[in-house]
This record gives sequence, structure tokens and C-alpha cells, in this order.
Amino acid sequence: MVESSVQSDADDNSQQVPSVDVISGTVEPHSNDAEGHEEEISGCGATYCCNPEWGPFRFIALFFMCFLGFGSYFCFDTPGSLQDYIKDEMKVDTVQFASLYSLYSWPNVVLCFIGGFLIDRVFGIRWGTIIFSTIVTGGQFVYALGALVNQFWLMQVGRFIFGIGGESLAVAQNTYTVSWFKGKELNTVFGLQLSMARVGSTVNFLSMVPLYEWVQTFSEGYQALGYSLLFAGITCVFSLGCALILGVLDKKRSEALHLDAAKSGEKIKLSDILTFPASFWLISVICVAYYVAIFPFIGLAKVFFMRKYDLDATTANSVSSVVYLISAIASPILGNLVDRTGRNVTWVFMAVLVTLGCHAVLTFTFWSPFIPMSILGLAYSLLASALWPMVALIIPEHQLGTAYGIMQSVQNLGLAVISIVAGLIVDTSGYMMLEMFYMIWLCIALVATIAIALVDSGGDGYLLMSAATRKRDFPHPPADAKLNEAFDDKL
Amino acid sequence: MRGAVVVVVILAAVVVVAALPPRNLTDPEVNPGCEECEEPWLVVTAGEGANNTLHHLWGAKETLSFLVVAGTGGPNVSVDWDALRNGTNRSVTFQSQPSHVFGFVIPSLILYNDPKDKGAFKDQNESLRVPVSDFTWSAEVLPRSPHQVAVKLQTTHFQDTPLPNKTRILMQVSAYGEDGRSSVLPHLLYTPNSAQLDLILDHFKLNLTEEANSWNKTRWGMDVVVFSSEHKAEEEDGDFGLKFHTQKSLDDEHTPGVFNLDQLTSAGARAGDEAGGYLQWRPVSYLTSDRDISEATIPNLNTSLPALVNLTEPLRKSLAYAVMGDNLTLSGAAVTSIISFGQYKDGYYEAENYTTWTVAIGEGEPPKETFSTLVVVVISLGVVLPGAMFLVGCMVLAVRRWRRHSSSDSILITAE
Repeated sequence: MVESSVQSDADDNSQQVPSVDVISGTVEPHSNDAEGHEEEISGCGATYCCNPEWGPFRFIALFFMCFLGFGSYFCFDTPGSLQDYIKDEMKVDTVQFASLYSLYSWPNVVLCFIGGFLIDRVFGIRWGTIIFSTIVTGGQFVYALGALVNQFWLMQVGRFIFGIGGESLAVAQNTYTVSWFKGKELNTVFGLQLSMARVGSTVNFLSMVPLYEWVQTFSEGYQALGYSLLFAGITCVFSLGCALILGVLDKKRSEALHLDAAKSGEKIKLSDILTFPASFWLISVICVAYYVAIFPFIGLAKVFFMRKYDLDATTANSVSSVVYLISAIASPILGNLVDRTGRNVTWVFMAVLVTLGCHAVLTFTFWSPFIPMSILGLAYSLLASALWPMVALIIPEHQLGTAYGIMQSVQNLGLAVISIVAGLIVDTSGYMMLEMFYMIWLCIALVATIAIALVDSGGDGYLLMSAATRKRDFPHPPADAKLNEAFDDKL
Repeated sequence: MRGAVVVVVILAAVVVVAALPPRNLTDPEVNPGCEECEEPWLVVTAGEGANNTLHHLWGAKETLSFLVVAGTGGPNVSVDWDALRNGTNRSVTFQSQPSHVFGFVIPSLILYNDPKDKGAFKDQNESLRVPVSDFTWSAEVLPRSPHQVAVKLQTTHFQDTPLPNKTRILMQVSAYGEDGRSSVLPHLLYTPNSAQLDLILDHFKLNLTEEANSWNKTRWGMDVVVFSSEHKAEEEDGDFGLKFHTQKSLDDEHTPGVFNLDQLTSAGARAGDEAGGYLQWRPVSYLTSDRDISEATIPNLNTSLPALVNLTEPLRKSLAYAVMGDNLTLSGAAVTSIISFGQYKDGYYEAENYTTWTVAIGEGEPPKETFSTLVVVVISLGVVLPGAMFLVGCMVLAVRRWRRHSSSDSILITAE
């Protein structure tokens, strides 16, 4: 799944970015009664399991929150893990196959702006989560149905529906998380959820081929493909179950603590775009240019590994899964590293350079692909940990919703277009040219990173600074001096 | 940055230096000197170069034959047609004794049933040989260009019965007078010393034996005999004979999704001599006329390559025997093999009823695949531009830091 949950990346990796709470959720506690006495908690809230301050209740909710997005992340890469089967059974070329990824991104060019609005103003967090989870589940089943009846256009419709639900579900997940785990645990929980997201993707790549081969014992052709995708859809049903249970738990908690429903807090104001600094636009360039060398690459990687390295389907998928597996483990560690050291631009530069090197190895050598893909997993984690928090370092708090919305919108637009272009390049010019294409984008990201360094050094140099220097010279982030105070007041 | 520019210049120079001198191609002649030949016994064309002449001989009667013959004489070829029809050796002669002969012959097709879906033809019990001599062929000389001539050979009858419209073996054989790359997938390289055969088995369903007609998981293959005029006796340290080699290729730009290049070379070709011969092909057979890699299978070559021991009747009537005679059975001169089209889960021949195979045959060393100019330019820009920006960026950062440091020092001095 694309880095729309990057908000959770930012939240996870920077203790100095309290804007996470503004971006992803706010909670308004019930005020004390007229005499200033604290209201005594009664009813379910008085019991052990219903009190949100008690660990077990919150950890039960944590379990369901973590798996809320599991089905979405698992199913997002089902095209990639079954690429050769889809192309063989549905008789489609790489361009048409790539549309299964592109169509996921297209609705999110717009939805990035209105996801928070839908949660805050239209559906509420509980129903919003259930609705989005239902859309994700429905989309996956339409996609599977398309394969079952050998209608590729129906598969494309399913992926489009899936995309409508997927990114909005991530916003809902973030909103729940902030509502339940604000304070010291928040970053840890975000890190855990990010790792769970990566685990979902990894499990997809490791399990879909064995699942498909088992399905072939009682079915064949496009029907086997359809049944495999239906079985994958069970993870979405499971996640929908989590959404339902979480809704019940959240309602119990709200009643027990007399809380209003959580809100996403996203405030989108498009006129703010005019005030964004040059660094922000360069970060957006990196966001597009870098991730087009990751997600579309992984989507098409299985057949590349099979053809170039003579791997079987299962091993090829294992290679693809390595990036996410490494990322699941490395993201919290590298996030902590960036938190402690600062110097975000330097880390971004290193991450892009290393990614470029990995693609160069995949292009110009026959070394085992496990090596560059493992290093790619590290670089990808490092970039996420360093890049997304940069936005909060240069954009005032009240504009962050718009800023992240813009970035995700641009990112999804880039992915939607580049996925198709990548498919076209494979069909006409082969995988080497495709790798060259990715490397060109990474060079653009590298140039943009250098440009950020130059722009930042011409200003206050905040992005280039170490964490210690930032603390010493800028007690409050220069973008907005009262982020923490505003949030603490609300508690 | 300077290093990247040097690399570009060297690569460009390599591309230029590797080009062979061009040849003037004569128009292909079908059955020269034979007034009563209806089928293409012999098609000849010649590429005249500065130092020698390269004859291309193609035939579709009795066997499919494809030869390249290097010699110093003129382009004319003499054929004793009676001898050729009778299978007498050396019925085809040249103005001067050829310096080198290389080629391959396909005496028969193989239909095999592959119920276990193994792909290649190997130990399958159910198989049937279909002699090429059972087919009747037509030849059509295609319009030529300055540096390319081509002939289309196509089956018309099987066992004297006309084949249905769509059922055919279609071959286009082309000879070249300059370096280049074929416009048809798999876009093989060609040189003035080479020709290319593009073979298509198109809706190739024949009425054979009752048993063969009952097979439902069939694939096609071909017997192949590859030969050269090099026939050194076995030496202790020497490299001799015809050998197969598959080469990993980084660049699949010209054949998307195919990273290997297969070659069958004579000792002379391996040594880099002009007097050597090669077959070169990409291990891909397309299953549709679109030639999309997603609908493709593998041409499997039996790489054990046992030596040719006996001259069978079809071989005696082939152009190989007509040119080389009994020298075909000299040690190291000829090897036999089988090429079979198929791989696991490709749906068998019946999936698309269409299979292609393209092979280049040539004299001397096989052409080497290199990165295209586009790739070289992209690499250069990709290295140069960020590298230049990085250097400039570092300098700017250093200068700014030095200025800041200087101005803070001067503030301190002023404060004191």
C-alpha cells in the first residue's frame, strides 16, 4: 500500500513533531462539572476491562487497530504476487496488468483531501471506519469476481473500489490511534502499526503462490485465480470484523470517559498552498520521484526476478517480500536513529543514493537479488523516517493537513501515471529500460534533495541541523512555536 | 565526471570499431540453371566483399538446408541438377574452392505427446517423425533493399495433399550486406557475414497416424544436423568441434523479458577466426503473431550434441551433402540435435496453434550484444548531472558555512 499512512511514519519517528496529533486526531475531553469536581466514572468505565486507562482494555483495542488495515495491506499487492498468473490467465499485457495498481491510486488523488472531512463531518470515526473497511472488502471481492468470470474490466473496477476505501481507511486508523494512545505511547503504537502494515505486505508475497497452487488442486485457469483472490479477501473480512469490534470498544470507552468522538483534525485549506516554502515542493518532488521507484517496481518485480534470475514463482515473491520484511523490523529502529540525530536531509540523501545503488545492482549485475532488495528495504525505511517529518518541520501546524494532503495527492497521481508507463516500458523495451527509468526518477529525487540542502542552508538550516543543535537553537520548531503547548492544553 | 565521459567515448568507439565491412548482395536465384524444377531445391545469393565472397545457400526440398559458404571466387554457383536430385555428393560447386562451410539441416519434424508437461522432447514415448520430404514447398523472392535480400518459403502440400489455407510452415530467410538489427522480434543482430531464418509453425495440425491423431497434449520439435568444414582431429589441448553456449545478457531492451543468448559455434568462431561458423538465437519462441513475451515458450536444444555417424537418405539429398559430400562424417564436422518447442504450463501447441523460432547463421565470430546508444546516454546523464550538482552543492554549502563562520568571528571581535 502506498505511503498514505506516512502520517503514521511521521508520528512514529519524531518525538519533536507533536503536529502528528493535529494531523491525525484530536480528542476533546468532557469538561469538569459546573462546580469543578471531577465526575465519577460509573458504569462500564468503572470495571477493569472498560477503563481506557487500564492496560488490557487499550491493548485489546490496539490489537484490533493494528489489524484494521491488515487486509488492505495484504490485498494491495495481490496483483504483484500473482502477476504472471494474472497475465497468463486473463490474457493481458503488462500495461493492462499495471492498471490494477494505477486504478488504486487514481481515486486517492482526490480522496487525500476529503478523507478527514468524511470522518469528521459526515460519517464519524466509527461508522467511517466500518464504511471504508466495507468498501475495501467489497472492492477485493469485485476484483476476485472479475477473475472468476474472466472479465478483466471487472477486476479493474474492483481495484478502483478497493482504492477508494484503502487510503481513507488509513486515515481512520490514524484517527483511532491518536484518540486512544496520545502521549508517550503514541509513537510506539504508530511504529507498531507501520510494522504491521509491512508484515501484511510481506505475508501476501510469501503466501499467495502457495495458496494459488493449493487452489489449483480443485480448480484451474482464471477460476483458480478468482478463488485465490477470494481467499485473500478473507483478510479484508477479518479487518472489517476488527472495524466493527473497534467501533463497539470505542463507543464503550467514549461512554465510560464521557468523551466526544475522535476527529481526524484534518483541516484542508487549498489557499495555503500559496504560502508553502520551496522546500515543501522539493519534498513533494522527492515523494513522487522516490516512491515510483519502489511501489511500481515491487508490483512488476516478480516476473523480472523470474526471467532475469531464473527463479521460480515462490522464490521470486520471496525476493519481493524482503523489502517489506526488512522495513517492518527496521522502520522503528531507523526512525529512532533519525529522531536522535536529526539531519533529515542528509539521511534522505543517503537513502536515495543507496536506493539508486540497489537499482544499479539489479540492472547491471546478476548478483543474487536478495542482496540489493534487503538493502533497498533499509533505504526505504530510512527515507520514510527522514522525509515525512520534514514537512512538519517547515509547515505551520494549521497548514499540515493541507500539506500532507497535497503530498499524498501528488504521490498518488505520480503512482497512477507511472504504473502505466512502467507497464508500457516493460512490454516495449524490456526490464533493463524499466530499471533505467526508475534510476532516472531516483536521480531526480537526488537532485531535489541537493536542492533542499541548498535552499535550507540559505535559510535557517533547520532541516540540515542535528537534533542537538535544533534543541539548542530552536526550542520550538521555527514553523510553529506553539505546537506542543496547544496540544497539552487540550489534555 | 571526466571518468564517465571517458567511458561513453570508449563505448561509442567499441560500437563503431566492431562493424564489419559491408557486402554487395546479389539478387536471390531460385533453382539457378534448372528449367524443370518446380520446388525450391536451391536458393542462392551471395555477398561480395573486398576480400572474399560469402554464399548463402537455402533449400527446402528433401530437407531444409541453410548454409554459409566463404570463398575467394565470384558469386556464381554451379549445380549438377541430376546429381543433386540423386543425392550425389558435391553436386554444388563454386568458382573457387570454398575456404569455409557452415550450416544446418532439418531433415524431419517431430510430433510428441507430452502428458507430463515436461516441455522439452526427452524420453517421451509417444512421438512421430514427419520427414520434411513429405512436404511440398513454394519459394517467393521478396522485394530487396540495398543491404538485405529475402526469400519466403512456405509449405503448400503434405503428402501430395494440399494443406488447408491456414496450415503451414512459413519461413523467411534473409541475407544481409551490412551490420544491423532485425526489425522483427527477437531483434537479432545481423552482420554482412550472416543470414537469419524466421520459422513459423502456423496452425500446424496434420492428419497423421490414428495414434498420433489421438494425442491431445502435443508439441512440435525438429531434428537438426549442424555442420562445418572444420574437422580437426582430437588434440590434447585443442578446442575443436561444435559446442553450445548460453550467455547471460543484461540488456533485454531488444527482446523484452529475455536475458539469455544461445549460441552454437565452431572452433574457428570461438577462436575469433574469420573461418568459423555460428548459430545464434534467443531462447524464446513466440506463440502469437504479436510476438509478446507474455505468450511465449522456449525452444529447447538438446545440448549433448552427439556426432553425426551415418548419412541417412534425407541427408544425402540435402545441400549439406551437395556441398561437403562425405566430409560431413569426418570427426568434429557435424553434430546432431533436437530442438523442441515447449515449457511447463504453456498450454501445449494447441493453446495458440502458433510457434516461432528465429536463428541467425553466420561466418566468423558471432556478433556481440552491447548496450544501445540510448542506454549509454541515459547512464552518462544519470551519473554526470547528479554528480555535478552534488559537487556544486557541496561547494555552495562549504562557502556559506565559511561565510557564516567568518561573520560570527567578526561579531565576536567587534563585541570584544
